[in-house]
Amino acid sequence: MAECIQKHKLFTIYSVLMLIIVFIAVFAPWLAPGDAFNSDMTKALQAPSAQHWFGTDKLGRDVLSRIIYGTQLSLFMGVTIVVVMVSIGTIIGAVAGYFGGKVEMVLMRLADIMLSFPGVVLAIAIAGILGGSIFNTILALSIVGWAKYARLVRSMTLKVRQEEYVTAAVMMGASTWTILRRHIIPNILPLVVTTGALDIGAMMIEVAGLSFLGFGAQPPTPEWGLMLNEGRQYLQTSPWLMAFPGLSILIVVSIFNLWSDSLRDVVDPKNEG
Amino acid sequence: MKQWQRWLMVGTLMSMSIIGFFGCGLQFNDHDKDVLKVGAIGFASTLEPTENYFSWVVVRYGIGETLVKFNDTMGTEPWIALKWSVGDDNQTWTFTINDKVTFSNGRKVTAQAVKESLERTFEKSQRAKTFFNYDRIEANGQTLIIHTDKVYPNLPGLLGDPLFLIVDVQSEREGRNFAVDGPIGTGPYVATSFTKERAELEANKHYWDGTVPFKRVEVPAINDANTRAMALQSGDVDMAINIGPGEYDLFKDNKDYVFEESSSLRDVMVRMSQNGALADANIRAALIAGIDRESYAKTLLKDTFIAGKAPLPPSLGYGFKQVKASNQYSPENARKLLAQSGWVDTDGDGYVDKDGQDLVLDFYTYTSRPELNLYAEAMQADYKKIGIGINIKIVDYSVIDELAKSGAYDLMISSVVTANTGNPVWFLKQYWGSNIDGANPNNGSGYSNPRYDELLALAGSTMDSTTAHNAIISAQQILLDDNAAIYLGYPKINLVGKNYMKGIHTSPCEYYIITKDLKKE
Repeated sequence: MAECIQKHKLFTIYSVLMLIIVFIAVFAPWLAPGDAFNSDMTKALQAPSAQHWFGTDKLGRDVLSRIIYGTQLSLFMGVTIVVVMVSIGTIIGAVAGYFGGKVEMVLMRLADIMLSFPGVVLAIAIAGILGGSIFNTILALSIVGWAKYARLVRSMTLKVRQEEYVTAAVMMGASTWTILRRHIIPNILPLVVTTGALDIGAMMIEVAGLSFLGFGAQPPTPEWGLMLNEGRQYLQTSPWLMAFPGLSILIVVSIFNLWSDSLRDVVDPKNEG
Repeated sequence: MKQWQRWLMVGTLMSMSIIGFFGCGLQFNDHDKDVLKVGAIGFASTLEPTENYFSWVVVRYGIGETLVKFNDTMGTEPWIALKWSVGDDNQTWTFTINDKVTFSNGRKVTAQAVKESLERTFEKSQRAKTFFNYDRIEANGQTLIIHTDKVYPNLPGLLGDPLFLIVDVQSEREGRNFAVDGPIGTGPYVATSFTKERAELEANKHYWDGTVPFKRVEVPAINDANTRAMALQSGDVDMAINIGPGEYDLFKDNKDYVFEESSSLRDVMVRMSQNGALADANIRAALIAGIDRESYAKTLLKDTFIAGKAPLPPSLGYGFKQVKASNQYSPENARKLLAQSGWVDTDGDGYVDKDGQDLVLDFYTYTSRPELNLYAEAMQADYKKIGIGINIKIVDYSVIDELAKSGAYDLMISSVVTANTGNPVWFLKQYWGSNIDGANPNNGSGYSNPRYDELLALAGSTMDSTTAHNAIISAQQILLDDNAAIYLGYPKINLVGKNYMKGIHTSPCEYYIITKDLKKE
């Protein structure tokens, strides 16, 4: 353990930081110092003070508390979207790569079509048509994002399929499903997972972006992108309404990106000294 | 990253921010006195006055003028028409057209030209017929006689609506396309190019009413309130239409700006469906009692609103103090009303329920007026306190129009001009008049009260102004007693300019913005 930490110093630091974020998200109801949900207009638009560290918003809600609650949603959304995207992409990619022929052609052309759209614009269109909600945001971003993983998994599958242990399994009469499940997917999973981890931060930004535009979380949900949009109307007179949610996004996304970067270094055998 | 790369990056970033800071300091103080730039909200896609509400833009930008103009108390004053009178049958109106008035192409405005313009409007606009109908129009020199199909006591006011602005139909026959090139009107400016994003105007060389101060006027459409405020601060525009509550304090009482403000004729209201759970008057009453309209106006909207009470704003003078509104803000009272109808929180989830169903309502709002979304959120928070759940649905304005007709909403907020013809009958009728056989298509709420219909019919047909006045007050009282809708507040409107601007004036009807009186010092 100690040796492992010694070896992967950066990874350890980032993991601790990430765990702090997870801790904040999980224990939000206990950590939030003020009222994140109930309005009290007598306290509206107060500047940061000892009582309200990050100030209050237009309805008199404590901004710090809302940001703490916002961690929950950002984390949940980021992870959920990546899990959904990776699952769909892996299944489609593995099937396409393993069976080849017409199945591959159809699935991969479908993926090509998805990849040819600018991602965020397509997500806005989907979320716009379905209406803004948390579920629809997950759906929209997953629909846009799976294709990348399908292509990645397909090319990996093509490579793994040539391996002798797969040929051996086929000769021993193992079923297709067993081969996919026991031999192919486990061999490509590490790379897929590290790629997925890299996407968590990106997805958090996209969720915040969609919410900012009104296609994601809806009021009164404490969501960082939505809070940015709410603060926009008071940008010059109450800048704290935008500054703190913006900083939160910056910090959390940076930590996740750094963490996933170092995770890749840990997992990738090439980097082992 | 190598050492030199790191230094290069730091160096680039630093020089960029230094340039950025200096950029802020550069201001073009010597503003061009021949050019006016106005930051506006653009909703028209063409300048064809008969399409949609685009005629408003034609009048606001000083391109078109109407026969009659409204003053600050919404009384009618001569504009293209010099004077008018009505015959003994109350259906024959005689207008004398001002002899001096010419179109921007130099052609004289005769009664015949006015007749052709009005006929064109009726031919092309469905909306025209909701104002009035005529049997025939006679033109003789500068005398125009309109024979209406029935009595319209407020006909001059109706003709003051921008829809009835006077255009040169002859020029259209000669090949001018009003939608593309802009109409030939009688205003101080003429359109040279127009898109939804930007209008460019030049002085009307043939203007009939004095000299035109600017050679050129540029009107970029800046629909976002923050951007509009910043454009004014940076000097990109000389004046801006409507500064939002968030930036209000930056301009008000600031010697660098001219801040003109007045009460508008608008009513920000929430229409309530009279179907489903809301068929129960107790619930509608609870929805009215559950919100703190005073705080919204004062704190949330920073005094840019007057707290609401009745359908018509105090500025109109239809018994605002006289009408009685029950259901003042009282969450306790609201809870009591809900309980009376059997809505109590039995499962402890924070929302009142009945027969296993939580009371959750769909609340529609639209994007183009940010203050509406502020209201929506504040109401959502207040309703949560009395156990009513609100799903806010933010949609495009065009969707609101459809919803209003179909009635497929529980609650729907909108900002409406209550007396665009100087008289509120049309407004009161279209939103709450019984919608029998599509008579009032905008009333999709299902609200209907025969007594109310009678009062409005009386107010709309009597030539006796006191009778009309009293009928309108009684009609408002009925709406209040029936808990027909929620009247949230009455916005003040503002025009803000750099301090060298002269002649900025807000008119309650919001029709006159770029006028011949706007000047630079």
